[in-house]
Amino acid sequence: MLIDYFDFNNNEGVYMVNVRLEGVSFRYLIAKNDVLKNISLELHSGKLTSIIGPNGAGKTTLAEIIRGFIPAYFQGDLRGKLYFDENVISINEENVAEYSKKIGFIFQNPFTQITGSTDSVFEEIAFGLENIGIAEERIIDRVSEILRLTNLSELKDRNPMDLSGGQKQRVAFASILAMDPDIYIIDEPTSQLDPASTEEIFMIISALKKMHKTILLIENKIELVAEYSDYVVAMNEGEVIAYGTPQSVFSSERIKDTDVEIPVYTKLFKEMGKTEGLPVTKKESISKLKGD
Amino acid sequence: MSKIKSLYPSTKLVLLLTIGVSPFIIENPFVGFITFGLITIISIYNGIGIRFLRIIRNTLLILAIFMLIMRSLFIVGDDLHYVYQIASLKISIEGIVSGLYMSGRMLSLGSSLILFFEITSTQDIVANLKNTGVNPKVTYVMLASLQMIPEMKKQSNTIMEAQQSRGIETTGNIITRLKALIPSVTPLVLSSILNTEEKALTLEARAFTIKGPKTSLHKIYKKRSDKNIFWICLLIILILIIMKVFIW
Repeated sequence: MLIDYFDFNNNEGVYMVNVRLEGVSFRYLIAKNDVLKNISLELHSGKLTSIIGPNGAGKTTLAEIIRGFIPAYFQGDLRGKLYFDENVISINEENVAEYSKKIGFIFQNPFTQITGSTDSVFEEIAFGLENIGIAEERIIDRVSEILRLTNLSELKDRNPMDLSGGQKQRVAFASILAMDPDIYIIDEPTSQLDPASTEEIFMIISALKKMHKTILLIENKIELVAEYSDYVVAMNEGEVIAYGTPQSVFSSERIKDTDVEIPVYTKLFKEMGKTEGLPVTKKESISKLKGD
Repeated sequence: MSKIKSLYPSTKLVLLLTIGVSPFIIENPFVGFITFGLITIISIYNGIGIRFLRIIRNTLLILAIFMLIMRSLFIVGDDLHYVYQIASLKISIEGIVSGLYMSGRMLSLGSSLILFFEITSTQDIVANLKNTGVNPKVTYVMLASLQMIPEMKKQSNTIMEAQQSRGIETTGNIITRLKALIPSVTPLVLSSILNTEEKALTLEARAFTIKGPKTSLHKIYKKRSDKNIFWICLLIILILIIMKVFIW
């Protein structure tokens, strides 16, 4: 099992990281307006926090701030504070590389997530581990296990540049998984995946929760967000308009007249005239229909 | 010659460049074509002759012929010896010789670099740079440069197919193809720049620029033959330079 396998970085047991943003605002260098406005939220270890919202809401920008790519790589006016376990963090060009051991980032575009410096999927997944100096035997063991857990074993000798978009996305996910960071920032990992592979990704995310990892997910598949997330952050035009459990966010009046999507089950019950106790998952809606 | 593929990457580069740059030292207009022939023979012995010649045909050969014609027709100078005239265009011996020098040298140097990149994997190049202790950012710049052209080619194929599906004619004579290609150049270049930027972040996410010791599953080693070849190449270049200065 995934949870039995992972515990590389710490000899002392499970290490929990909480992330907190306090009053974070950001404006790109040549932009007239802030793309993020006074964002305050917390990410808890062992919990999945999902960010939802329409295109241009600022979701990826927020993710890049937590990872430190902003301001290390993208200049602009960044205000507010970022905390990891109550320590104020300032990630910049000098220390951004060090944080790659602590924060895993999976990008939206699968086609740019293959490094191009390896000839096989095995080597691609091992790439990060080589860079952080893990011993060769451990790399081989870890990558072999990750390949098995992510159902990529049959692709291990293939050139990653020759893979389909969905396969590349799975390889990119496996590559970060292999590095075993404390915090995962995952930007639309299932955009190119079929339903079965999408379910596999979410099963892995559930396993990561049990390992007390701190997970931030940007996802447009609202039904899956509702089913697997502990917290949901709804964003629109650079602001957090609702933040809480899936139930509280999807039934919030604040997202009513925005472009923020809600699960189809919630929509259905709203259109039936229900206003309270709205279900957000299939299981809940079946239960409600049965009158349980 | 078939063992050139198995040499250490920097040794391969030194060897091929020694052959490739020697026409720049030797004062003979045909040396460039001789060294180009030698490089072609090396490519055949390494099992990639046809692919190599196809690349040369599509890139350097057209340029070489163009250069030869231009120099033959348009060289300026006093006391030129004309051998042929077409309308007002005159072909001189000096022009032909100059054209042979330039096109031969271009074919020689260009083909040596093309062959190097055809017989050396990106992974080997990166490993060589890592072993040498080159700054990862420099390694990334080289990696991005190597990948940019094949990726732009893939993207332009995708764009052309998208154009075709919208009813734009993309096949046929060169004018038709240019009409379809030109509007897609700007988005192609912009998306290549964006992809390069995203790839830099991908490498950062995989700790590419992190300080400290690194492990390498893909190992390449220098053998004694690599060192011997390096010194032989250096000696050849030195001898050629000495001969150029004192004899030729």
